Amino acid sequence: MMSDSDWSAKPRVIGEIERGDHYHLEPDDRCLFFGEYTSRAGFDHGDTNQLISNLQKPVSRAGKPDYKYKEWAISTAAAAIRGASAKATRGEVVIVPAPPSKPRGHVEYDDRMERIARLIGPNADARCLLETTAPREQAKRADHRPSIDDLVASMRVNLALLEPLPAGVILLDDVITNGTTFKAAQRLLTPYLRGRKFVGLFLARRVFPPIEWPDV
Amino acid sequence: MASLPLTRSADFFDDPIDAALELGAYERLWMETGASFRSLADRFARARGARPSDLVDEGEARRTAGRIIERFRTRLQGSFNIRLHGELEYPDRLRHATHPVELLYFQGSWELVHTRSVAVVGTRDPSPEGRARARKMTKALVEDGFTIVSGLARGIDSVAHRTAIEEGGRTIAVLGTPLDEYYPTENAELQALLAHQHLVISQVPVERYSTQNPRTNRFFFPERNKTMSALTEATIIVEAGETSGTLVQAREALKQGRKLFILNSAFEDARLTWPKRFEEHGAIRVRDYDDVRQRLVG
Repeated sequence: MMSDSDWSAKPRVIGEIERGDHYHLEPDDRCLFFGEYTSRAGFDHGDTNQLISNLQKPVSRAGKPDYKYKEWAISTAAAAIRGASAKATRGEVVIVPAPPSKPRGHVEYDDRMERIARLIGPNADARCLLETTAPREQAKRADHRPSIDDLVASMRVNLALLEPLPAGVILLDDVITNGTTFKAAQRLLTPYLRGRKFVGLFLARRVFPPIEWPDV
Repeated sequence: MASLPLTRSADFFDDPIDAALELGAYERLWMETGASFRSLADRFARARGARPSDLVDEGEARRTAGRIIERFRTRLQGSFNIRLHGELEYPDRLRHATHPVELLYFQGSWELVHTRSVAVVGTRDPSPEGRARARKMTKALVEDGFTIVSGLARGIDSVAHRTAIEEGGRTIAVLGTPLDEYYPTENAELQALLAHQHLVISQVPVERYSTQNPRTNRFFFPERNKTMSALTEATIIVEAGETSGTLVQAREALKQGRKLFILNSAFEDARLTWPKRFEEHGAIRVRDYDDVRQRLVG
């Protein structure tokens, strides 16, 4: 494959050109992304597709040789965020990892987003303000995607971590698809933020594969 | 005057990219007197790290972006997108072009850019043998998994795209017109198909193109050949006359350190001097597909 993209690049805003690909996003929502991800089984051309597929390797593969790629993806993502936001790196805004699909303690609990957030830097303020209370099927495998309401019902706000009140919150997730997680997190957190800004940062945004080709 | 990079960090991120704004700014830059790919490339080479929006008024850029996006939504089927120099998905190898482009429009599957690709190009008016050779070459390349890149012109380009599709392969068109213009019109359907199922790329500014006469707009065609060469690992010239625009791509391929293949039939045409000339500068004479295969696949 041809690989020449650069993870030190600046993130892109989901604006007029991109918003239509993310059904739930509204014009006032502020979301940014680094790369574009095509969800297409077995097709991993491009650095973004590879990074996401490595990052999403199931935790059951821990200790297997390929698991080092997941570690690599985590550190690459952390470095990208470090390069994109001095405020986040200095701890002036709080990074909230999107909660995984399984609750803490579950055998498939995957804390990849939390680990990225904590790896941004020693001064970064990573807080798990959102927790999963009920396991969900991973969205991409589920027959029907959960609604915003479904997601809101499966998460709770960890009130103990709210103080000191952050100057702003960045919700961090790997891939934005319809924007469901972002909207659910926004609905859960904004009542506690007293007008502070809430934005989403995604390693990639999902773009639609128009057609299936044979993979070569 | 344009806002300084510092003012762009009013939010949590340092200097994030607003693609719509950059699209509008790029279009504005092209409306300036004397704008060309060369003048813009020079300007960005001097202002390292600058974006189009650093060089034009933001309000104007936003209004222009609004017009173009509206126009594309009306005239194009499905979504479109851009690539901006400085964003993650912009391929660094495009910088190898003589006048690298800051911004590209596209429709379709950008990920095709990450596959191994070869440009198959040539005259708009090929002989029947030329068509047959283009088909044969394209078929063999598709069988080896290469994505076929061409310019969607009449003649060899069209044969290359169509054969790639017929053979179940992947293909990319690099246009010499804006994304929502069709030239030649007979290829409109093919272009729409590629935009929907494959990938169509254009570096041509939409408003500038609309305000210029067709004769001036013809200068955009050879410009896209430079991008096509930069995008691919090799260029194959099937058939081309002494003054063909295809030769721009031949020069670029060699200059950019890409492989340049020329079919033997061109060498055997006594009217042509260019095959020999390019061979002296490193082009590879192709008697059959194995001459290509050896160098690309091993």
